[in-house]
Amino acid sequence: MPQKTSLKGFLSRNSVYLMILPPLVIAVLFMLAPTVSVLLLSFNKGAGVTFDPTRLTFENFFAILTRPTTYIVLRDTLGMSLLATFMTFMVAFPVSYFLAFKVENFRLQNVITFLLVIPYWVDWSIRSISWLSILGREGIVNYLLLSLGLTQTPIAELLFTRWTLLIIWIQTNVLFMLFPIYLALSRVDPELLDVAQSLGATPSRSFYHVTFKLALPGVIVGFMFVFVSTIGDYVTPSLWAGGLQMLGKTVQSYAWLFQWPIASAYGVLLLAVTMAIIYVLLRVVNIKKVFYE
Amino acid sequence: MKTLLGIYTAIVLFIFMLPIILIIVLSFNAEQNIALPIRRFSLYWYVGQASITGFRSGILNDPYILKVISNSISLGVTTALIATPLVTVSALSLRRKFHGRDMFFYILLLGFIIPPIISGLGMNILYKTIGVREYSLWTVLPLHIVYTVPFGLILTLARFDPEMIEYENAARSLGANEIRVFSKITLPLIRAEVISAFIFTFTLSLGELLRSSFVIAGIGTIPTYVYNQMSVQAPTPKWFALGTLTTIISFALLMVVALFLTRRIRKITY
Repeated sequence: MPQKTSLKGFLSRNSVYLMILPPLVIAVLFMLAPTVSVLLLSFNKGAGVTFDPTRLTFENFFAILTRPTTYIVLRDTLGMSLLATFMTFMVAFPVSYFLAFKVENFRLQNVITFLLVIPYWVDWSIRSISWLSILGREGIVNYLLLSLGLTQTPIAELLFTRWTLLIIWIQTNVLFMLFPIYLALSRVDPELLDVAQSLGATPSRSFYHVTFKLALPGVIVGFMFVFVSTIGDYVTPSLWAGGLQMLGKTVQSYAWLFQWPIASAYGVLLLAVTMAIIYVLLRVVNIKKVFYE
Repeated sequence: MKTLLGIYTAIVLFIFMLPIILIIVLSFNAEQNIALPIRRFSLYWYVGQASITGFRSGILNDPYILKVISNSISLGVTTALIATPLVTVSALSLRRKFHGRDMFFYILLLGFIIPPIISGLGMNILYKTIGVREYSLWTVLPLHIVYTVPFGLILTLARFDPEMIEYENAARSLGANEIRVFSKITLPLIRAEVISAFIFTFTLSLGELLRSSFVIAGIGTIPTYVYNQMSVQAPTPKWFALGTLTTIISFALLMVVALFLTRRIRKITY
């Protein structure tokens, strides 16, 4: 390419910086700035809604970290989130594998993925309500159990327990797990498996070393999506597993009472925990290498 | 092995479509209950019914609910219209090496890593600091954009054809300027990704509740409406009617968009 010394040349060589400007500006304005706001506000005390730089204090954090309930909530939140993420993975992985490797017709792959997207157009709260019809006392599951004679009375414990929460979370998030894994797997050349086996590997070894390792970036991305989606969710647990207090709900409760500094402090805790897990996940595999070489 | 996986996939698909099928079927229930069995079918929840106490409206007659639906869809379409070019530009620029490339990628990814409450609360604080007192439907828009762009980005990046840059360079060496290269080479090649990015961002925006509920006011979107109703009212088939309607509208809208985008891109290139 000829080296132009004109403005046009400068622009065409550095056009990429111009290209990234809009997304960058939007990201900084509407994502970094709010997060920083929360961070700053957590150092204020009281019931203010804007940041007062003249009155900085660590009081909020001190109060939070000395409360035993904080640790119970933290344990519950992390536990349920990680469990939900792992279970979503167990559900989604076989489907992704099937779609990527065993469905030959590319069109059919698209059709099946499209079928999985359709439920998402029904708002998730409405979808969750439909689970009442399935798991409720007069619901389908109980109806089947009763008519098959497996139980005498309808099981009421299917609803509003931790398991309900898990089921609803899995249902809401399986697509987020499925898509990245499917995309990662579809990049794997199936001939690599044959190569591995012709070099003497057993099917399970070749599965682990070839397929799984190549799918790992997709798995990690899926983990990230689902984990973040569940850990910040304050609506689903409060509606469907009332006894369980999650960190997000704590933040929201204080925010509702306009105690924004304390809410922000809890928010910072939530952010710290989320970031820690994400950092661990990102260490497992080099994400950016996957998406752009 | 293949049949085993196939059966498993079919079961998973069934379990996933089950709520939707139930929702669609139960929306025609003549009675109040949301559990099977259905004794009578009717369009009551859609078109309402005249009774002794006056006309009780279904969702198609209720101007409030219609406004909620149109809010959601306008917000979703706007989000998708803004987010899709952002996603495309970001994905295309990430192919080239430049200073701060990794930092750029991580910053964009932050959009979904940051928990929604923090985004929502932070936006609230920010708005109040700037002096925005009144919230509306559109004060949520930036949050939706920032939330959907990372998803779209990952989706688009994963499907990029590595050969693409060769074609672009070939065009450049033949004398095409950047605009021509983009419209005649790049855009047709990423057509499918742009469409799926649009669909995905639209879908994500439709279902977004956690961030929106912090900075929204007025009639609201479908998720905020349903969430508010759920805390005060027992579920009725009316909501299922709402869900069914949303699905149909989304489906139709996306078909239109996909058709429009494919034709538009074809026009630029031929």
